[in-house]
Amino acid sequence: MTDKVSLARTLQEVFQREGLDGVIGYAAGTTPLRPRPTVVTKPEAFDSLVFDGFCVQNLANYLHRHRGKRMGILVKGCDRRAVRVLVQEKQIAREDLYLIGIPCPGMLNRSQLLEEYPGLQGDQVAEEGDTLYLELSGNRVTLSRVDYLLPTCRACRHRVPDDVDLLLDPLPFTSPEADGSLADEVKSIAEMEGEERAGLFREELSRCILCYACRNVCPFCYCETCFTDSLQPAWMTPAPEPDNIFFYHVNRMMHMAGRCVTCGSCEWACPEHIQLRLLYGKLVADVEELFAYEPGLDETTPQPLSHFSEHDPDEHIG
Amino acid sequence: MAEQAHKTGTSSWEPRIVAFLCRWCSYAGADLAGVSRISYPPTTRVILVPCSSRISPYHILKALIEGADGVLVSGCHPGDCHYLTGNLLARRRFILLKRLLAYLGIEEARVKFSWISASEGEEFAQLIREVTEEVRAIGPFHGFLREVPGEETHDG
Amino acid sequence: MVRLKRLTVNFLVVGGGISGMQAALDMAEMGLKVVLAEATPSIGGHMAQLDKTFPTNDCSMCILSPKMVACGRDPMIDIRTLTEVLEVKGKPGRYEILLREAPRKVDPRKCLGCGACAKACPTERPGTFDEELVTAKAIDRPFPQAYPNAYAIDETVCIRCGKCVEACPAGAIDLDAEETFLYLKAEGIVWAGGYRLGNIDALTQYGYRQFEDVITSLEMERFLSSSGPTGGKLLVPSTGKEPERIAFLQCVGSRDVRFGRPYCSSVCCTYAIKEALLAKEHCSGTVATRIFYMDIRTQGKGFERYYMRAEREGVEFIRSRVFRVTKGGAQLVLTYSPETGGVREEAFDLVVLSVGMVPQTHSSLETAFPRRGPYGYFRQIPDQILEAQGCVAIGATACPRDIPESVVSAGGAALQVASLARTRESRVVPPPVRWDERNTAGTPPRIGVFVCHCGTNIASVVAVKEVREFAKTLPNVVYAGELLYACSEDSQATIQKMIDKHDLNRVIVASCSPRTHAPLFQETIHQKGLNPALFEMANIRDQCSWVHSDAPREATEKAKELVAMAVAKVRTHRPLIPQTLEVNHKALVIGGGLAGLSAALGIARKGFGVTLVEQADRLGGMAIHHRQFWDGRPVAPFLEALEAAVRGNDLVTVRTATRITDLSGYKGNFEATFHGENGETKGTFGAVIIATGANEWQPKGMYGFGQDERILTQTALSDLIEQSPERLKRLRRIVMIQCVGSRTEERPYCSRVCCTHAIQNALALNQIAPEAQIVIAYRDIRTYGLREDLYRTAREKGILFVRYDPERPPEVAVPEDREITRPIPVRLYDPILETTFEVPAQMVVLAAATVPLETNRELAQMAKVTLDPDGFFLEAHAKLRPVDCAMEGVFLAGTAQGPKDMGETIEQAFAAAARACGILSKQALEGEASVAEVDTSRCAGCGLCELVCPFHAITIDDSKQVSVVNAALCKGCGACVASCRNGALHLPNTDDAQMVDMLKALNG
Repeated sequence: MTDKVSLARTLQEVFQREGLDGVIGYAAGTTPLRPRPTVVTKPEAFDSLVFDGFCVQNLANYLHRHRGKRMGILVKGCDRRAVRVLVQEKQIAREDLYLIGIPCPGMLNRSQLLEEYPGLQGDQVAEEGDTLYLELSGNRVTLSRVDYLLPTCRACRHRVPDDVDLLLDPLPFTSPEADGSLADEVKSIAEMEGEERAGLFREELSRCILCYACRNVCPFCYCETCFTDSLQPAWMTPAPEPDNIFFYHVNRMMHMAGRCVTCGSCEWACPEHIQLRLLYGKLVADVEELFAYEPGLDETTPQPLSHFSEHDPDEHIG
Repeated sequence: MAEQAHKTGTSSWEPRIVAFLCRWCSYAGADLAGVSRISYPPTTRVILVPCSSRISPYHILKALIEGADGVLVSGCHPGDCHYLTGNLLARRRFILLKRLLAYLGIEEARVKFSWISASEGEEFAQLIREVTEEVRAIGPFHGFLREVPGEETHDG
Repeated sequence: MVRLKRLTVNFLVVGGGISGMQAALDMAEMGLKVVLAEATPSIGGHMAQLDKTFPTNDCSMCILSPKMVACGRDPMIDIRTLTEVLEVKGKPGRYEILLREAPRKVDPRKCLGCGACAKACPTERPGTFDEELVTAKAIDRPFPQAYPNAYAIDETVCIRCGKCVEACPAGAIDLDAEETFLYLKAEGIVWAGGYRLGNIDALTQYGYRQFEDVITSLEMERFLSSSGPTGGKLLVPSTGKEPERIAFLQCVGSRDVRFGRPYCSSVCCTYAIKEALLAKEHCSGTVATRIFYMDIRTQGKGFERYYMRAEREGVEFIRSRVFRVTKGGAQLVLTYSPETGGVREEAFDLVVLSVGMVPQTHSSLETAFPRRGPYGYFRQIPDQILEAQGCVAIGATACPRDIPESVVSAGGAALQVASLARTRESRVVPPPVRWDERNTAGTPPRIGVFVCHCGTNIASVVAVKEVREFAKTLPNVVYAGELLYACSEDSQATIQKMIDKHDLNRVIVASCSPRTHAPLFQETIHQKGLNPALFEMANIRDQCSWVHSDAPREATEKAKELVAMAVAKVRTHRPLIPQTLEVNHKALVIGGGLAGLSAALGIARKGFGVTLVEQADRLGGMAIHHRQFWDGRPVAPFLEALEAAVRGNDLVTVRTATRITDLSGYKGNFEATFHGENGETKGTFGAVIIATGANEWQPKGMYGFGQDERILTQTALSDLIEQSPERLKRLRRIVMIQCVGSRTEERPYCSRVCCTHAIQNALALNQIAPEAQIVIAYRDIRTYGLREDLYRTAREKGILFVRYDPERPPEVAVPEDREITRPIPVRLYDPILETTFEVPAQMVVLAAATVPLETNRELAQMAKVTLDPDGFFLEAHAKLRPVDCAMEGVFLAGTAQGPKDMGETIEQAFAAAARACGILSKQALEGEASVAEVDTSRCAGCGLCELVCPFHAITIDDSKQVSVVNAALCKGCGACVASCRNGALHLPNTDDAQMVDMLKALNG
């Protein structure tokens, strides 16, 4: 979608002008429609960079390993917010970063496309504004981009990264309005009968194989040792059994309270296609409702579980 | 020990409840219930902690995984906290957990939070009666993400 | 034979209520030995009877009980109950006191508190703790949390039948026990006799004792208390039903000249509000609560907000004095005259009389006290701080006052008398002795389990033998035995013998509550070289036998599991040695006003160095604008003497024109950076006192202030009276307006001093210009306590008091031309007469609010302390820690903490100084044994722990990107441990791994 040449030129120019140690961006991956995060440290390597509607992975996840270096990083709205949370948590220093913002059109649902068009390859997809063109063996299919957005991106309220050092030109697309689809989804689940809801999550979470792909892709899972792997105390075992699975997901959710920016990376990464957005969508909604807090919007307001108010709800205390 | 009998859901089944009580108020409230000889069901196993803010979701879920049918966390009333505001911090943590658990289909009665002061012996006993009754009504805990076996009902 | 014990201590405190306890604790902190003599069988006083405390509605017992335990445990405090002073001889520094300790007839060391004796006792008497609402036995314990936690026999009613002796499983009762006389040598005496409710039998119009449903406020407390006669259910005594309408009658036996108690009892308004609010909470239906009052006096910190909350929650306030209470059918009928005139009758189910306070008297003590105030109070006067005192009266014996004021007075008194001890006592107290500990590291756990029968208290329900046999099967348990009474002397010997015999390195006692008994057993194992942390209890009495007596099988199973959990936990316990911290023996006092000067003097006189820092280039602060203390004593000579005493003391360094630019560190070791005339300097201090004061608000734009110089504040008027009274001679009409900027939405607090200040100025004007007509426009006159005398005098002198509603405040019309001869028309609406009248005033005096300093925020951030919603410094606890900050080692004095008058400021300064001396007196401070620890290999330095720590004990080391726990500040609550996502924080011996072990043990 972004002109590859001008992206490379711009980033290369920034790299040299700012004296950066590297720039974190995306390169074409080996798996179709899965660009991979990459770090470019040499001026000649910038040609490998790409940006298209499949750059889902939150690049903030790659900042930890470059702590102390001066890094450029390509940020969509959600990456920007994640960077801010990491600054808030003292994991990185804002002044070490050069943020190259991309007004995000919303990322595309790779699974949905592959399901409808099996065997689709990256070079068969072209994005132009709000339209998606698929070149299928001489046959050109025109799709509306908005129909293929990831559910988390559909609901995104912060597409344009703010407070960046360089904002790339708005791309020729109409930024779709955030819709309430995720909130509605969560709400409709919350309104289900208890047993039905339990059944839904039993069905979803039972597929979990505790591979931790969701954890590994998350910018906030930077713990040296995850509680899943702790031996002293041994909270759980690695066996993908229901108790372990549940323990893992609930505690991970609690760890994400006031931090999750709903970037969708975890759901995107899950090999079992567990609808993790249904968990984190609920978490984010609750945090907002209970504590009037939306993560990653400013560095100075403390996260909700780091403090309290005398007027906090008491409904759960019986 | 009596694991099997506990989990078979026979009429003799009695819930087992792990109660995390803060040292300064709720544990003292439990002591007062004792000193005042106020009878309540023998269902709880108390774990003494300095403050309700010492309790994390880990402990609550782990207690259920390790065989508890219900978990109670009790601290000082707002304003009474020995550590100034630990209970208020805990209150935030718990409301979120409580909501998430409910959303994931865990019966609300499995996990209970309360404030009990050092002078509330009767209230403590009453709380244990209530918690016991509520957990009894929903039956034994069979583990997370497991289907409740059979058509057994637990009308208490 | 007369038993006589001779004792030499530093001080005697008479009265074991909250005031006496606090005085004893503060003196003990300073390393001074105290006898605390209490006339009843338990310490605790009136506070133990209260349900909740205002204005936070904290549970009274919850906050009191730890203080009682602290008193009981303190080796420097010798508590003598059932003890009275017979005779006092001598002088300050050398008193000889004879006391009589009546026989308790129950040995507190043996008494288990099981209550078998009371059950067996056939003799009943009115239960004093429950205000005689229920009966108690001749052998009784006043309340479950009593200290000493033992029964006592009331000699006056005991018939010596011996049934209790037979029933006692511990052999604790000796009916022939005799009184003991104590011959005490002490340097000083603190009289903390407290108050009693005044006898109102003569006030027959209120129907007390005549109608069952007319009760006193203290009886109401007992009804509201969940440990009270109705178990916390509020019921109308005559019907047993919940009341639908409750009336509270204020000033019953207070502010009543004819009745001989003209003073205001100071606390009744706020407690009536509290009781009304609690009544609403307790009653399931909607209960109507009406408070009949003359003036609502919510002058204390946070009280005005409480009053506003009560109004919001539907408590009704009726300004009227009730004539009489009569019976009308099942209900009580109140006859009163509403403000609007006429006579009205109204029916209620329950009538609560807010009965005034009367000071306790003690004839044999009183001779030792040189000064005696009016109405039987031992009021303190400011001059007293200029020298150390031998005898000080505190709490409600000094004047009618509430709990925080009593606590403040206790601290102040402690320092007053403690200054006597300076020369004789070594100034700095060494830390307590520690036994040599053996090294248990690396040795596998060898656990001994001792299961207690507690006579039959446990054994009659729990199958003790079965528990013991079960314990033997648990991992690492090498010995399990039974004890008849684990807490008895011989059991301690048994435990110690078994430690030797089986080479135990961990001990579990399965008996009662660790809250009461762990220290005893820990001392026992410590004597055998085992670190006290290598111990755990299973509470199989309070949690099994006493509450499951109807289910012995389940109780036994539960007991076994509790033991299994304790074993699982103690296996991985490790020895803990509290960190000791060197103490710097100097204090820093910030602010050189009345509070700062007083605090500095107090500390220096106790023998510690003080640096007094003042921003201005002179000392004295706001006090130089005040002419008089409320009782009329002149301020100037006192202030002069105080400043001279401070400047003349070698231990005090005064630094005027100096600002604090940085403050870091913690209790015992603060570092301050000063910026003054000599540039920047640094200093190290053990304690910090914030005494920065407050300001009088300048009410620009209100009532024409700033537009005409004849419209001025009360402080400006004080200056005029002092400096140029001749200018006031020709005044003929003066209007004073109260609550200017106080009790508003913006400032929902009462400035406390303005009513008294205005009346004092009015009386002074009355002397200067006797013909002048003075009108005081007010909302409520709040001449609390003994200040009521001033109000009465003012009315007698013809000063006119006109009440105004905040909705219709006075209107001041500033004349267009500034002709000084033209009067200022002030229009007043009188809600009683429902008319507006105009006073052509020659002067308008505004009682402007006391406002916090704008610089408070900056200082609060530096000192890591908190401000209250109004911008004053926030104390650690509204009731019991009124001069402490949440940040230990920082204390508050004077108006920095909230509005107060000069006497109160001085008293609080001394209380703060006493608390500071408690730290300075110690060679080293001992931290908590169990404090949070950081596993740096896991810590990501995210800073969450730093934010959640209520004690600012955690900081992030930016260079290493890890958190660092300051063991001196950590209190071991574990909030950080539970917050840490990384699992990097640990709380030794209450660690996650141990909790998991316990949960696994539960599962068998």
